[in-house]
Amino acid sequence: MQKAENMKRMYKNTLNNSIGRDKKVHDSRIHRRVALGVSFLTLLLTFSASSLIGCSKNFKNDLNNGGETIAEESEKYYGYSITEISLYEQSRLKKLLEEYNLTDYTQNGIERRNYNYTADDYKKIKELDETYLGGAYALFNKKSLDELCKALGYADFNDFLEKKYGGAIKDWAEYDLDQMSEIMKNELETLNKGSR
Amino acid sequence: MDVTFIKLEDGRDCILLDEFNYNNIKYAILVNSLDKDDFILRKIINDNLVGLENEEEFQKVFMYYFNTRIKDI
Repeated sequence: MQKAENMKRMYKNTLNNSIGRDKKVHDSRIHRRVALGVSFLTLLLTFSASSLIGCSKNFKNDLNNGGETIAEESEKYYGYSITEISLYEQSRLKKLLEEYNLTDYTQNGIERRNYNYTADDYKKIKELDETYLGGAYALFNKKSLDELCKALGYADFNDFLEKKYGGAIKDWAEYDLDQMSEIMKNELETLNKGSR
Repeated sequence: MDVTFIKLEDGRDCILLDEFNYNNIKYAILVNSLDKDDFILRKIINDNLVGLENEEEFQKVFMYYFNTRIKDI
């Protein structure tokens, strides 16, 4: 119930921040390069966004169900929700691509990204393994996802699903969420130890 | 990592999380750099970040963003 109340409060706060013609400011942007604690900032942004996502997705249910929906979903993967894990996966992949200067992509509005690289380019990423496929599934378009899978030794994404999970995407998704939530948990523990 | 900051009319230093288009209007989602649960949604008109008209617009845009941006597996 506490979590439900927090979500409601967050929704109302966001609403108050966002509506009203009196709210107006010139779009002046300042870009800052963050060198220290990059992982922490990435996670901060990830959890920030995911808090809002959890709020929006469950708000209407929450009003009727008294918060059980959020509590049940949130506890499923070491306390992380599916949307939190998905955002973390995308952040993690983007960070890896940036480290290797693989940032040439096109994107039309809300469509998934089309990265202008082939499997040979992705093979240069020594850290690349199948734990990055969840992020790629959410972030990449089909062509880019298939190229990434080729770099991992598969014909395409469907071939990966077929060989590892008998084609059952739900089985992969469940395994991927479990695996990624464990990685998140370990990374946060490492960050917390480092900040003491 | 490059992070984009925008100062709001009330002085809050916010981080630009994302931008997207909905019904030919550009919107921005920001978060208070000092409070990770303090979110703001604005539309971008003539180089200004302006408030939305009402709760109805807010809900439509809010739900559009999260239903289309995030892939549910």
